[in-house]
Amino acid sequence: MPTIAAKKRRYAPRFIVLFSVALIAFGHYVYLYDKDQIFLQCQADAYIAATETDLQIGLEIKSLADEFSMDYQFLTDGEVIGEITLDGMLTQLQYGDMTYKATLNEGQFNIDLSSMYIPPYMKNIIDFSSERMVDDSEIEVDIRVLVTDPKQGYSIIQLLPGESIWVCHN
Amino acid sequence: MQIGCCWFDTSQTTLTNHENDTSWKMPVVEFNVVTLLTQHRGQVLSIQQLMQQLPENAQTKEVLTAAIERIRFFLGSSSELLVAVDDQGFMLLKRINKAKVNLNGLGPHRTISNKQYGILMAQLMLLLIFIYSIFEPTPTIQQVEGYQVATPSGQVEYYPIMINAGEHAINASVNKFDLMMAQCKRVLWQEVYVSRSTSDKLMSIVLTRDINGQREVKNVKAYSDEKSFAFIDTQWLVRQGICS
Repeated sequence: MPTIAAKKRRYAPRFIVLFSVALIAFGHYVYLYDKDQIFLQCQADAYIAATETDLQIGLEIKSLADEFSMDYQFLTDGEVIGEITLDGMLTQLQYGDMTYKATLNEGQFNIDLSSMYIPPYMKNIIDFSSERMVDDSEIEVDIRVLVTDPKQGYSIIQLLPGESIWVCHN
Repeated sequence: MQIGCCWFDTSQTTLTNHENDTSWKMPVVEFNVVTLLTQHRGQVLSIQQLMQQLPENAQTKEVLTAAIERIRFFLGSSSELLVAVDDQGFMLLKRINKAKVNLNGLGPHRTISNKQYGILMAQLMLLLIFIYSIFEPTPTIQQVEGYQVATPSGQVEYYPIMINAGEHAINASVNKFDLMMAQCKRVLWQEVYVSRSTSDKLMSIVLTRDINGQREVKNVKAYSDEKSFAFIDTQWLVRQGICS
């Protein structure tokens, strides 16, 4: 009868191969289908009708564990003229309608004072956040995933409130 | 003296296998052969040299081969230590070559090299990719419904994202966007998603197209205090890179 040590030696190579395959398969699955984390990078060309000016907007939405943040960046001609960072918690993922639910309770605004210009789009976000984040109040944000294609690495999302849509790289 | 998993006791003329806890009282022929091999461990001994250890009336190659086979059988997993060299002789190795990996199940005493082992792993990886390509659940989510808009350059998938607040005027402006696209000479994108925000000041346009199998995407936003967004015309669509 072979001893336990002999059995270990006999099955070790096969175990290593199967374990490696399982590990790679699991890693691949987590990479593609980890739905509890968000990392979205979005860029937009914006047109402000009132001033007939063009604006570039960057939006980064990310979560790490339960921490959640939305970072806006506003640029004209490649120069950053303002930034908004909103922080909070990722509270839930509703699988039914693929909606991430988060709360925002902290905001930081950086404005380039030399430009003497705050785009109305940016002003809207600042006003909306400032009005609602008083006295430890929170803003509830929904990120509804309308379309997602992990293979092509993009998602189309709808932000609520506001109902604006964005296409972002995952 | 240790031979792999076995202990060769010259005083008792026994070979003890520690893997299966068995002891073999060796016949003279086998004992003499193993004794000579252990005295010249790591060296090749010719068949003639080994045959000299056999009794005078049994010095044949067949007797030696049978003795070697019995020794190997008893050595069990350590039988690889006793190797035949080009049909000319035998050698008792000091240790099993670590470059070889024994894959039991491929046949008795079969070994494969690290290179073969690597090829086997690569084949398994390819098999994994193949399985994924067949059984991978569809990861694409499409939660909005669209319709096709006929333009002079062809069909464009149009997805109006309506709001639920009953703002008919807002929804109507989203619906009108497809009519403006239809007037373009050429729409540069394959899919167009349009929404108006409840604040009534922002129109979001999402554009996607396939170029050489790669999906290209773009966001365009229009911000206006004027509800009708009357500035959006064909010229504006061209300026924003939606049409040409």
